[in-house]
Amino acid sequence: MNTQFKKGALELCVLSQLTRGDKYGYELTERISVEMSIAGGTLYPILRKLKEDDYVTTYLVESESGPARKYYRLTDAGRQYQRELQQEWEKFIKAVNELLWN
Amino acid sequence: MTKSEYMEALQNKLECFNRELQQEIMEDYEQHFAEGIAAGKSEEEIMAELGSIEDMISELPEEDIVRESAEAESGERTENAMPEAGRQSNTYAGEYRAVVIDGEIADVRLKQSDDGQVHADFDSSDPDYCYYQYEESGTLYLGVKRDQNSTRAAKRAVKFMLFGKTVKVDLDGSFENFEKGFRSVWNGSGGSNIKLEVRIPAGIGRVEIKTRNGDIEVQDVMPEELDLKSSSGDVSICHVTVDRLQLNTTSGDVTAENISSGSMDVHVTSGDVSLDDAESGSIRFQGASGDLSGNRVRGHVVSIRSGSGDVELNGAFESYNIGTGSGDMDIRVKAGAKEVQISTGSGDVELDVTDVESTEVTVGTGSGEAVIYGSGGARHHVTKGSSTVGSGECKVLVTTGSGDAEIRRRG
Repeated sequence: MNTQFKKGALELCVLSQLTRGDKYGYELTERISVEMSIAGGTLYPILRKLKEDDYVTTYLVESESGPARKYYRLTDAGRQYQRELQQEWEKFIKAVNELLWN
Repeated sequence: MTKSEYMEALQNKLECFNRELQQEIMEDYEQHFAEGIAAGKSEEEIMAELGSIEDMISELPEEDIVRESAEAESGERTENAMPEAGRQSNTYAGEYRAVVIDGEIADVRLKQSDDGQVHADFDSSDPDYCYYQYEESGTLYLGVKRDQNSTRAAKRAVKFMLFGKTVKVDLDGSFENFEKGFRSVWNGSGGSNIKLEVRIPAGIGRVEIKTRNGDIEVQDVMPEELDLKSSSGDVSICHVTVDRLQLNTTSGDVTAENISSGSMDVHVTSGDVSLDDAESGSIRFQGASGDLSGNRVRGHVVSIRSGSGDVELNGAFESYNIGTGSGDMDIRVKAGAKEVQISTGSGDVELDVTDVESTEVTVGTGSGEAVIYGSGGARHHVTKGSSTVGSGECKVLVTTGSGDAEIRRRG
């Protein structure tokens, strides 16, 4: 998949996964890697930015695997933002499909 | 690379960002490693999944970079306080076919210029060295040389190398200065006290950079020909597109990431070489004791000659030709390979050709032992002499003297 394309879509993927419940970083990279090849590390700057923009909040939960897990939770603004991005995405996909086939 | 090396590289790359960001990203990565290990993954697998540190860094917001601006400020102060301290910016508007840079003891950084001109920023706190520049038949020569007029500093100071960095100690300042110089290197804030940053526009055919012990860093450029030479300085290149690439060091390490080239020639003595994400028509490597590690490399032909250095290669080529004296090899061949030739004197060989549809493997050993593993649990042992297994369009030939070989194939 084209990298530029993937970059833009990644933010939406992260937000959309979080609409299905709170997740920690590793869990998110694992889930997204199932569908596409990404450099997992690039997710952390994205998550950080979402937090700075108040689209997500974080909280720590003790873990047996080592350091405490940092969970990400969508805020109301985050949910709103996700819906907007999704709509844009669907519009975009529709336009591309139109140009591909007609 | 081990986890601690990866984390160290990460820490170094994060250094120019604010503390809070550094800490958070380091913690995220530590947590990621811990989760991966708990899930039964190896450190290598986890590092491969996390991917290139550069990619991650490029996602971080520029407004969180604190050190570059701090440096610029202090630089201006220095300029005001000591006008003779060498800090100058030069711009050259001519049309050049080639740029030749001699950094001597300076760290040299090469980047892309976005206004069609060549820029050279020279920053030095060492009065012994000065900047020079001249043009000759379409070639721009610039660099750093010892200032003939400055003898006073040479008498008072002594310079030596420590961990690959230059330390300068003023002798009339007694041990206090020595300790200060030592501590600055120890803390990692040392490095060469002379820096030369050159930015070149697109369209310059050939760029040559050489240094004695200064490091060379190249990123985001695309000349036709790029020739980098250093004695003990490290060479690192990243995001480079070039027809012909030549990398040459004695003891300096070479790191190349995100490279696209027609041909790549790497020549090292004791420096280690790491290639990651490189595409090149041909790759030729020659090393004495330096190790070579290549990941996600692809192209037409790869040819590797190493003395005692180990070779680790994971890449897709049509033709592989790899030989070591005593160095060990760990080679993974990707689909599309037609010819694989591997030979070693006393090194051990681990070769994986399971990605190749069908192979013909011929093994010859002196006193070493070879085992060919098939996917169905089939094993084929060779102790001394030669033997062939399978018949396929990819011919694999492995010969060892006293080294052992382990080969994995399909079928």
